[in-house]
Amino acid sequence: MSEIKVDTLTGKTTANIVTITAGASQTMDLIPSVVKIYVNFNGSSNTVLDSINTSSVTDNSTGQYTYNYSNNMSSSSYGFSNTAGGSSGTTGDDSYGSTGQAGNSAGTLSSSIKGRYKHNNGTNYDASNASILVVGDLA
Amino acid sequence: MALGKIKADTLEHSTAGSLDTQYIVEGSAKAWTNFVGTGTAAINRSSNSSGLTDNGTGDYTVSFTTSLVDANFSFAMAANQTSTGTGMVTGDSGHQTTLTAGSIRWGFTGSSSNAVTDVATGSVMVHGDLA
Repeated sequence: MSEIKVDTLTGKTTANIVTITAGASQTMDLIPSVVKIYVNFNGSSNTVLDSINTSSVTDNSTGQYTYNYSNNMSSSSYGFSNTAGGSSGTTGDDSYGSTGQAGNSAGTLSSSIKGRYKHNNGTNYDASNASILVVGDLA
Repeated sequence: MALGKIKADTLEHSTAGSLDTQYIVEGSAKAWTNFVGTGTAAINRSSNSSGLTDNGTGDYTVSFTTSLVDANFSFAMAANQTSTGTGMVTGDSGHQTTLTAGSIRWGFTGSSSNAVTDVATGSVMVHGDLA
């Protein structure tokens, strides 16, 4: 088994392009495809359970949070997902995640992303496990 | 000068631990797309996405430049809605998510209205194996 010990991978021809073989013969650029930010956040206790590249989480209101990045993305256009687990025993247990917030459409910025979580009855709730994933290029 | 190429099973960082390269290869997103979903839908930025089709209100298809090995891949969508802050979910009666090796089609619905709706900014991410 081969092993490389290294702290940094840098493209030889172009610094931010590192190609990997990701199929029988297909290759792809690794850099924009690696998750740059993830957060597992408990909105009830305002606790970050686990994260990478996240400086803080701001509790804006019930079920509405801003996840702030340690290192910014290169722009506000990146891949993201935003999901949450429901809260047990609550009417409308299904949960929905969106990155828009009432009165504020700027849900995705290069420096942060806003998450909002609602029951299927339309009310906001503090999610016990809210999760954010971001892929793309860092600044 | 020819490009450099390294074949290895493991990468080890000096302090952060090591990782089998299998996880890098299999765990990297194989396609992602950030797009405008209102008006003339258009891709803002993407990786391995050849195009976006606006099939109707809240109903989109993203095609992959390089196909996945099959239709059994993992996916995640999310949306940035405008001032209403409507929750977004995927899958709906008549708007089931459809996966093929070369594309993904899905619908965004609002949690309160349960009706398909265009989104200000949409995102889809795909994990799996390339063909």
